[in-house]
Amino acid sequence: MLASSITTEGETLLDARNQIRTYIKSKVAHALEDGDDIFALGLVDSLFGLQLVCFVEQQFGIVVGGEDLDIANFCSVDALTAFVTAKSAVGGTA
Amino acid sequence: MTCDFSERHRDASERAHRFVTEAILPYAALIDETQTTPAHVLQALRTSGWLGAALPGRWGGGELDPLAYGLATEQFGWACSSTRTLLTVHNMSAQVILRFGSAQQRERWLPALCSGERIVAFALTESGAGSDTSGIQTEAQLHRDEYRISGTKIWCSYGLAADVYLLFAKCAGKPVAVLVERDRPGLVVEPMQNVFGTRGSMLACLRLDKVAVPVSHRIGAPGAGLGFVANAALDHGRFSVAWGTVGIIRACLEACIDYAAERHQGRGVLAEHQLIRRQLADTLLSHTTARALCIRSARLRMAADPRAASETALAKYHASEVAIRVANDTVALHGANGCSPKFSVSRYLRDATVMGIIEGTREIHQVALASYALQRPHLHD
Repeated sequence: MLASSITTEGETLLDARNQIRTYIKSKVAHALEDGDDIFALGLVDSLFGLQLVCFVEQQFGIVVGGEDLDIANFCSVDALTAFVTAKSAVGGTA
Repeated sequence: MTCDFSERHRDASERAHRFVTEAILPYAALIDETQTTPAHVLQALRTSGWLGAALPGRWGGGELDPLAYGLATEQFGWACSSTRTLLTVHNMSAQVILRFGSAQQRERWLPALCSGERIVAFALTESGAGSDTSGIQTEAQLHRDEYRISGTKIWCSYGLAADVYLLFAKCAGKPVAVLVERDRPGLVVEPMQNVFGTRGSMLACLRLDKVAVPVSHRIGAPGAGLGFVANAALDHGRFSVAWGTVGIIRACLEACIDYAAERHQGRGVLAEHQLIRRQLADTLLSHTTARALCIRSARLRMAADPRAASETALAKYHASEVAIRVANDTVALHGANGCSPKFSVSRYLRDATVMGIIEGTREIHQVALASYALQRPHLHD
């Protein structure tokens, strides 16, 4: 389950999205929409992918496995929110 | 003064010091001169437990945390950068099998990698793809349930000693990471010799001609080979290289202190000359700062802090930069003796120069660390 206190599915999604958006925006010195691909736009370097894996594992208590390592899961606030939400729903937690 | 190290951390450092002093240091000059690691040294490493020291006990590993592993790696770097390289490439590859491998892959590979029964090496670089790994040309063609891999890998450290390679290729344009056993038909392993530093690290060129490897040997998803798997391995590699480089700086510091205290020039020993004293002070400062950054990165890794990879890069960048200057000054302090094979200091200089290139050049680190600086990490301590 998500690390924060949550009561409904909608609140879960919103909470995750807010945390992910806050984190990524704090690392990217540009205005950013939730759908923007931060890698394709060149806003972050290749090390940031590892940083995101570490962040979502720490923040949401999920385990990112080898088959999860698809850049499509990490490239935007939208993508990461969907990934975290799906991963939490199937019980991929630590 | 122990930097608040626990008993466990002091023990790892002391055990590593005893091991390298007995099993490696007496052969360090020979390893450099003959450009290989003698079989008995390799065997001692395989059976010592140090190859799996940072892996979980469940698989037979030594369960050292990052700080303990770093302190042990420092001892290897102090004794011999070539053999320290074996620890680095073996552990960085094993760590990604642990981290991103399937349950079957972990079950199959980790016990043999922990016990030292098998050695794994890292095969990424190609003649046209160094810092820009996206340029790799090695191709993995998918045929039903196997890849057929063709291409050439170079600068594969301990590739001559390895039993298996964590190798990177492109499949339909997507980077993939695949474990390739050495005895696969179509794989030829050739030595690369007469290199400048870490001369005993048994460098290999791997030539692959339609080498068939099961798809089940792939680590991570298709497309994840470089951005995640290679980067994760290189992150572990940088951590190890940074600590090993601190070991080189320490070796330089000790050589300078010993020589300056004993060598008579003019009216006294070198250590009485003010310019030499300045160099001793600067060398001590270099060792202390490089080691402090390594300790910081170890503690961030232990806390699973998202900044750990960037802070590790910072530690590696700083250590390799100061090591080159320190080693150069160390050779100069020794005068003509610094150029003699009777002293180890020219080896330190050649090895330190290599540390500034491997696991990311100076320029690659500068670019990456500038991006990190723009995240304002200094506001979050």
